[in-house]
Amino acid sequence: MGDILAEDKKKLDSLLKGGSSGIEPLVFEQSYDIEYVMSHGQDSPFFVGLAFGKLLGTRCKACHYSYATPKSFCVNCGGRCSWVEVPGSGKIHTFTLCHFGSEAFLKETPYLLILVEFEGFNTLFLSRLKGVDPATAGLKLIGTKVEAKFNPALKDKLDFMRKRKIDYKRTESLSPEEKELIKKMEIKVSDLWFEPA
Amino acid sequence: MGNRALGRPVYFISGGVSQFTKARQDLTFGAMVKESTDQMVEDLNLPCGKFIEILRKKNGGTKASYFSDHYTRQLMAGIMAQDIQGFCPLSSNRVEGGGATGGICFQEAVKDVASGYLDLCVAFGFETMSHVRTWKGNEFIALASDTDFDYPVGGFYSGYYAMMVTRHMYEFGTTVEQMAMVSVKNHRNAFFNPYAQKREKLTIDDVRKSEMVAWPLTRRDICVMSDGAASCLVVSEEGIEEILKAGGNIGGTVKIIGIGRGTDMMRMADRPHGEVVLLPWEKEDHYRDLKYPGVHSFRAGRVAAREAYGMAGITDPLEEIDFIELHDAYTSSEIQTYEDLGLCKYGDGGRFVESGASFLKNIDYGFPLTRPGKLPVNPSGGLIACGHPVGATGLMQAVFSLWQIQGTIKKHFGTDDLQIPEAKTGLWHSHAGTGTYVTVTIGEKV
Repeated sequence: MGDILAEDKKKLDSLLKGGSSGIEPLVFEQSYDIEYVMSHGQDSPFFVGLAFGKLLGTRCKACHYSYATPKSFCVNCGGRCSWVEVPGSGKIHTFTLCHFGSEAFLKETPYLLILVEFEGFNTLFLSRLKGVDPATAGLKLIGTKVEAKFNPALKDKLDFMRKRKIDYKRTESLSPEEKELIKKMEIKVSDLWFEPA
Repeated sequence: MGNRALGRPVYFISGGVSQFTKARQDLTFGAMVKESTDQMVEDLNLPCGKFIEILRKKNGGTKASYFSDHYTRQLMAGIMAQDIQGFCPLSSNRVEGGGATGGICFQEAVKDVASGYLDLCVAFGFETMSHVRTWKGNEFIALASDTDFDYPVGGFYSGYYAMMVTRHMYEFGTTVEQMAMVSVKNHRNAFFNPYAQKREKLTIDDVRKSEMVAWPLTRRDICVMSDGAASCLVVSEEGIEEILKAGGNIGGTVKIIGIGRGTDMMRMADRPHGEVVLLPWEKEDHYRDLKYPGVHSFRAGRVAAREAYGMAGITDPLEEIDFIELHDAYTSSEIQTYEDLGLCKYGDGGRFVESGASFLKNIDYGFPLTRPGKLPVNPSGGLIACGHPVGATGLMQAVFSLWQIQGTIKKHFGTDDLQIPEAKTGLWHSHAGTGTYVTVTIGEKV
């Protein structure tokens, strides 16, 4: 027993000779999973709007600057904005074809990303372009007319909401059951995309 | 806009850079920083104990520059880097601003000295991007875009910059070959920089035929993930005196003559279509039909340049500046940045690179250039070839700029191929995601 310990000590001493330089860096792996509880906060009406098949933007009450991606407060004058409907169709302002992406989106490649411009709106909207063969993508896509498409999976829930004539711009008017339902719909901005008009 | 000023003169006298590489598994992040500060102190010919003594005696302090807590998987990494270097209990704080973290950190050090709060400030920075695999790393960086509206549709940074340059191509006729020229230039320059991660001799064809990431950007249009650290020492006149009194030796002093910083909205979709922010020598009718900044230009870069030029009194950068180290995370953004910095008009960036103005005169890039070396850009190799360990990057650019102005490139690189003869005034530029934060700093030989 004593001999083995002495043998180990000798090994360790020889490894430490001249500082720790005799030891290879120890590399290890570990994971880090987190479930976040997030809120869309003041932007929530935009996501509720998607369930109704509507694209909602905002307009500043003071200076009338308009946002195709909603902002509750005006970036020009700091004023409050009100909700307005964005037209269901617009034009491609710019695009890219992604052959790679963040790890979570690698399985969806190749995909097309576009910024859409809308008549009467000062800012743009980032979205996916579907219904176009990626192999044909080129500068000529810029200026192409596109229209909004909404995830059909939202449709059943959507009909339920419509039957009750819910005012989607005023989430505080919803009943607790309706609020619960909207939460369960897990509406994401990716439930909306564009296709050539 | 009135011209801004620093409260008192500020000098940049020493710097250090750790080897930028894909993975530094031999050192933890704090020890990597120590590697760069040791070099910074050795350049002053001081033992590190003596240097720490000066910091403690003479209003010394530090700034820690790192971008992502996700990569380190260690909160409060700044204080760990501080203590491993023997800098406790000196004043310090962390600085963070995406890709511009290092540039902002340098300027915060300048301001602390200019205000009289500190006489010596060490700005140190690092990033350990090797801790996750490449596409998870891309995901972390993508989290530095709007996670409610942009990330969930598959948005990531190469995609954002690709959309920006696609519009640049549409508006101005910029070509993918012009972008590839930037990649050839920066990789070829880095060939002579031993600190660089990618030292390659490429052709335009190599760049275009390399794997497509997000059209029109290929892998060789885009910088890589790195591990690395860098440190800069910024001081007052009293700080210089103290170092000399202690027996230190300064290899060349650079006075900070201009700093500027601008910002823009996180979402590219929100960038307005307004009027061009003009530099003093530009006229409105240069840009009659240009909607600005749109997604093709970086308004933050233009605002930062205007401030820094104003403070430095620069009215003709092509004549008054000898070299530029700028944030080329993408070849496209180098071209766009030429325009923001007023090296050419908005829209002329592609033609500017084609003229050869931003290349080094004495290096063979494999194709003819009409006007080589007018104003070399990224003589070090830039981010594309040196690597981009985010928190270290802006400081690395500052250190390479210091060595250019000191005339110590040969001492540090072992060869003087990249030394710009008689470089007197240099500009270094740092830039965060899609141009959200941009800093411009100008230094002049004393």
